Amino acid sequence: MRTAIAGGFEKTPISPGRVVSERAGTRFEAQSQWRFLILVAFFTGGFGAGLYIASWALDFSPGMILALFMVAVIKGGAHIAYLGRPERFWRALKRPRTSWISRGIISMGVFVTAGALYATFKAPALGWIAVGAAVMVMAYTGYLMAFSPSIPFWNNALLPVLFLAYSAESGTALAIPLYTAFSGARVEMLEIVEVILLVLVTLIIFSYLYGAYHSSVPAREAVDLLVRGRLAPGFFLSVLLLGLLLPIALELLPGIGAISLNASWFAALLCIQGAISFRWAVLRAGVYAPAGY
Amino acid sequence: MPRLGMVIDLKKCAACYACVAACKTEHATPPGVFWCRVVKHESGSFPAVRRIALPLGCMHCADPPCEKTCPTGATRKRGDGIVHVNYDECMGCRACMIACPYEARYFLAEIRPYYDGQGLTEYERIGYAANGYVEGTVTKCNFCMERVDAGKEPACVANCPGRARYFGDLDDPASEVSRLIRDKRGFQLHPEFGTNPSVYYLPA
Amino acid sequence: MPALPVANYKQDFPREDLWIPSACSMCYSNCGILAHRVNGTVIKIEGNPANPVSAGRICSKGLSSIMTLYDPNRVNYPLKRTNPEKGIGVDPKWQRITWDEALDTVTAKVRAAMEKDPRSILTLVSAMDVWSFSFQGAFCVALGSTNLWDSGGGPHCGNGEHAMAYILHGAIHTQVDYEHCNYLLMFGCGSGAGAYYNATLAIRGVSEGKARGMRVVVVDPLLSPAAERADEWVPIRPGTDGCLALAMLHCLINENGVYDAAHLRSHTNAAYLIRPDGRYARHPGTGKPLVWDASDAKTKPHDDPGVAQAALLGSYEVAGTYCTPAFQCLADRVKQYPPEAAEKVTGISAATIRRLAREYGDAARIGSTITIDGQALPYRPAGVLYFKGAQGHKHALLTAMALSLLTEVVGAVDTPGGLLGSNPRCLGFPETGRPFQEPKPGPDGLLVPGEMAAAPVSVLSEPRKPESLALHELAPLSIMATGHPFTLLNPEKYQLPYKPEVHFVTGGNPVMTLTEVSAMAAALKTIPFTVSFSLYLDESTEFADIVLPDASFLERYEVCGLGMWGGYANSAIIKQWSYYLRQPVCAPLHERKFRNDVMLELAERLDIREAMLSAFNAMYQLREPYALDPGRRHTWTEMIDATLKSYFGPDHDLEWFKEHGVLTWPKKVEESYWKNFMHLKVPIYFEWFLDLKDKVERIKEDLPYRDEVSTADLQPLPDWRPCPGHAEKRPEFDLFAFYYRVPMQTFGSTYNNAWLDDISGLDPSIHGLTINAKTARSKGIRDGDWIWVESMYGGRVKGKAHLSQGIHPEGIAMANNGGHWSRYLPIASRQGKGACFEQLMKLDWECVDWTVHNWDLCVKVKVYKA
Ligand code: SF4
Ligand code: SF4
Ligand code: SF4
Repeated sequence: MRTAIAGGFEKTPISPGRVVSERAGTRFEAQSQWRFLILVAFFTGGFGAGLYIASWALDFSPGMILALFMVAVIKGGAHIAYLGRPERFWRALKRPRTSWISRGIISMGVFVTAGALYATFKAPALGWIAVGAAVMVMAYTGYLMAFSPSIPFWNNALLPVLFLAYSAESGTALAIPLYTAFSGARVEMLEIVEVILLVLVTLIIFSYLYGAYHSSVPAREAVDLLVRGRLAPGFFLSVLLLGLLLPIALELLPGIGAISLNASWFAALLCIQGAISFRWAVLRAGVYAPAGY
Repeated sequence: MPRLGMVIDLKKCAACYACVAACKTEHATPPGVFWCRVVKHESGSFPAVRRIALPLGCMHCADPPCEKTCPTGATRKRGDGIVHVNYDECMGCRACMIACPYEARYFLAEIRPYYDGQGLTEYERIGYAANGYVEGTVTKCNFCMERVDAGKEPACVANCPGRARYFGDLDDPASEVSRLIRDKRGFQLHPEFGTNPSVYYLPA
Repeated sequence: MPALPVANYKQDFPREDLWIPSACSMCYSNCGILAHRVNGTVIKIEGNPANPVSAGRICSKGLSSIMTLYDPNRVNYPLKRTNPEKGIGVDPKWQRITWDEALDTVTAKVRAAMEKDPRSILTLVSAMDVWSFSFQGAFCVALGSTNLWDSGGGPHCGNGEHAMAYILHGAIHTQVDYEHCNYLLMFGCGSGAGAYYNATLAIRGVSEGKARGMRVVVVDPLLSPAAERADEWVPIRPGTDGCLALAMLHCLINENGVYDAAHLRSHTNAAYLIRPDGRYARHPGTGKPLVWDASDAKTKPHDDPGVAQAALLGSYEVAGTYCTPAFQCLADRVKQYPPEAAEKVTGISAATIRRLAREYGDAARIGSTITIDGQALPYRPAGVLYFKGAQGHKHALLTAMALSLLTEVVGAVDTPGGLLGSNPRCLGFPETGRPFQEPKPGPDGLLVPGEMAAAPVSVLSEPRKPESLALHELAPLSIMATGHPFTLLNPEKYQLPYKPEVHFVTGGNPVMTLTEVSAMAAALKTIPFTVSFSLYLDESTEFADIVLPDASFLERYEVCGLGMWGGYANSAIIKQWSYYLRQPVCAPLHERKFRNDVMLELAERLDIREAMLSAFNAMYQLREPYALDPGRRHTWTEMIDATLKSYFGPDHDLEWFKEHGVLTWPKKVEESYWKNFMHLKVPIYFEWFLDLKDKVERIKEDLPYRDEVSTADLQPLPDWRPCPGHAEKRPEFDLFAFYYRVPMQTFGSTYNNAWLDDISGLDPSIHGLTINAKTARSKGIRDGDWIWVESMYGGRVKGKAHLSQGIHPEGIAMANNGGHWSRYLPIASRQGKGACFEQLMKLDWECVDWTVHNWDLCVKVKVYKA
């Protein structure tokens, strides 16, 4: 019977009350609302915005246009597809005073509009507006998640920072080979930034998990899910090894500036899958403890 | 303006699930939707084991994160503290579901009949329409707003065979609910979330 | 009470908005309800605050009954089978027919059977239809057959408890006086957790009792719904409750000296002298049992007003032999059950047993009194409740005796705070003095229950040579014997003077609710013609030849027959009398008809109306001028009207009840706590069981199945004996399977209710099979795994494992009667909706307690991953 309540286009059954685990007298229920489409939207938003900023820094139009396309079409499309009543999407603009969704959607609108205008008119002010909005787009999902007390694992000040850094890292990772492929030139500076971002992300992940582990019982349960439980293989393999450590190695081993274009494409691919995996893992590890007291 | 609230005495709750059914028949909630539910959790190990039943629903938080995160304003709080969803404004983004720490909210992707594949029963045909459910929106307990406005207690309170549930004005120190919370060490679920629920529990 | 709009049967109002008072029948508690009907559609069922039976608060099943009313899987038209082959899963190929055709067929078959031998007609009733038992009884009497049965009564009833309740309290069952009780000890019973009699009011009783400080201790192998809310859960090995009770009796009597001597002397046969042969020492002249008066060291008849101090203990010489008071016999018997010995059997430590006995004995406050309505009464705020769980075993009677004696020795019976028989005494509605009944003195000063429509068990019960399919003549302590599968499968052996020809099924689902499923199915197949009044095409209806669409309780009129009134609608915990009506909250949908209407029509066609109405007059005790005139046809509502007027006077007719729903009047202290106002004794030493045993032994001498009839348990004092499961020694059969009840289902009858199914899904123990987490892990079973539970007798069931710490490591528990398989019950029959315990049982007299016809529910199983 419960299958009748399905999540939008995903049609996966939701069932609040589905117990994922119990520990120390607390019963945990898995977050089941945000799954594939939200992953697509959140990831593409951050990734696209990151790519935009990197491309903007290089004044690299194809990158900027690709980024705008990703945010406007893929992220926007995923959001609309996810809505229960897509025709009412415009109502999302009504509550920027309290709602991070409203703020995010507005930032997205500003970003796409300013970006498109900048691409057309090349007025620097427009570029700055677009970049500002892009930063918002990169960060708001983190704020949205960190804002709500419901899922203590997410309710963490490092999450927006982490998402910001991750977005920048994955965006930059793609910007590097893309730029080289288009212009034939290499940008050592960008590679250095990328390595720094990769190391930064790794460090933030660890302090995030450490902090969460020591913050509350449900958050600890979530960390356990990530490092010991069901999600651990994905976390260690896709996120840590393939998504962070291997790209660092790929960048550093040949020496900065010496990475081949192919290796660079490969590194970008690894970074992107790592960023996706991490978003997915964080979404999946969101557990409630509604009955705890 | 009063602040409406509920007290659930866990000593008196029999885990009979009558409140769950009372809510269902009062509001004709579709399959899988439980504005009011009872969850049990077990602690300890045999033979020193305890299982607690906890009737859960919307806490009508004084500081509701669902309302804050709702981008459309479909979720709102009335003057008397009742938090409710306007199905005609909700766009089904489910941000409120994520934000609610008590898993009180349900997404109605589509309204399927209880006897799947056999069409809506006469009751459901009338009930779903009368309650104004809209597919693609989010639904949750409304503290039996219609009953309360008509001077009645919420259905789960009025029917509770164990008389475990009480309803009244939390702001009135003389009310039964306030007295119970004071005298019997009433507590809220997850006070650390800062939501300030209007549903209190009395220890088992 | 505000006037409620009158409900109109089969009449639609334009724009109506009605609240109709009626009575629930989703279980046997018969709570008072109000139905809200708007423009012909029932939109809500709730409790009727004006009716003390519910007091406005009902359970999840009653609230969900709308879904049973509108379930698209209900039978809506008469059907006939077109496939002559019958069997489990064999499609009967139902074909819709008209009511006329259906009734013609039924009439012809019944007429033919009546001509052969009317006893060949068998009627099955459902425990949910207690209000119709008397009506159905009258129909059977008119047919000339007493073959009326209730299939679930065998394994699912408290057969031992019922016998004890009749013998000790003059009532069909007992309730604890929650209003005053301070210590509630429950054995395998779900009172206060949504099961047991007056389910919703018992919840309130326990809740308010606990709020007052009542301590609740539950002995159960499972942390059951009742145990969950108790102050203490005492896990026990399945099937050993009787042993615990005996050890507690030993502690009370022999170790602590805690017993209510005054009560034992005045209200029991504890002082009666017992001869070495186990019989009473009797007065040579009058034959009255003797007691020993310690004040002048003389024997006197038990009822001699000159007895100053009847001895309870000791040994006295009477006419050359040494006799001991019955109480001394009991003390000696329980001496064989010291806590140390009981610990080995029950798994409960001797220290815990001693503590429980101490707590319970202290709580009983022997010697204290309470004044209610100006009457000073013994105050015994301690109660022991037990039911199916504790006594659902091979030795049900012995277990029940032991458990019942726990309250008897401390005097906590039919007095404030203690165990109350459910309304053995009713002095009647003040204006008419009716209905009236009270227990009476019987042989040897022992209580005989008042006039009940159902044959009560008492000191007057006599065995006879069986002529019934139930074989209840050989089980005179049984309230509803269920030998049917044996006799149906082997009529020659059981020497019945007739062969079953027609089966009237008015409810129940015997294929799933009595014993070994395949054997039960084979037994049903032997009956040439079955007509089934059905709500659903369930597993048993599959064996019908004609199916008649029955009206659910929301579509029919009913009133309670006298015998069932006290016990099933208005139990002892309600301190107010209430008599009320069940009336249609909407006209029967489609072509459904209530079976009583149909049976009256059949009575006409079969020319048995006169006999039927006369029987009805007798069973409902109708008095002139309201007695029915057997010479003319009556509708069912006319019969109800006459019944109501006969009980409550001309002002309280059907119209009055339709409008007001319920008539209430106060329950007097003399009624609630009647024992203190009547000089009746009950046995703590069941001497006459010896006579019963001799009589049964004599009768069975000539029977070819004499070896199957065991009277070993007909003994005057309790004992503990292991049931067959305890003798199973194959190591892989290491768990006891048992079933228990949950608040949101009634036996198997509610599993297709979509709301209840949905609600059941909230708790994984309802549809899952609960197994101890450690035990499960040792078998490699994880939570949610599909498992097989295979019985020592061979049958097996599949289900989803629900791992829990709250179950004895030797147990596996199944909630209610799930595991349906009828293709016409799409919700109930989905895989993983519980399991059918009967699949694990065996049709064998070894698994039945002959004395009370109780079927053993203690089966050893092996459990493995599917
Ligand atoms: S109706 Fe009352 S007693 Fe029953 S589960 Fe709900 S709160 Fe508990
Ligand atoms: S319990 Fe959840 S839905 Fe209810 S007010 Fe609080 S946050 Fe909102
Ligand atoms: S306890 Fe029984 S009679 Fe009462 S409402 Fe529930 S199902 Fe109906």
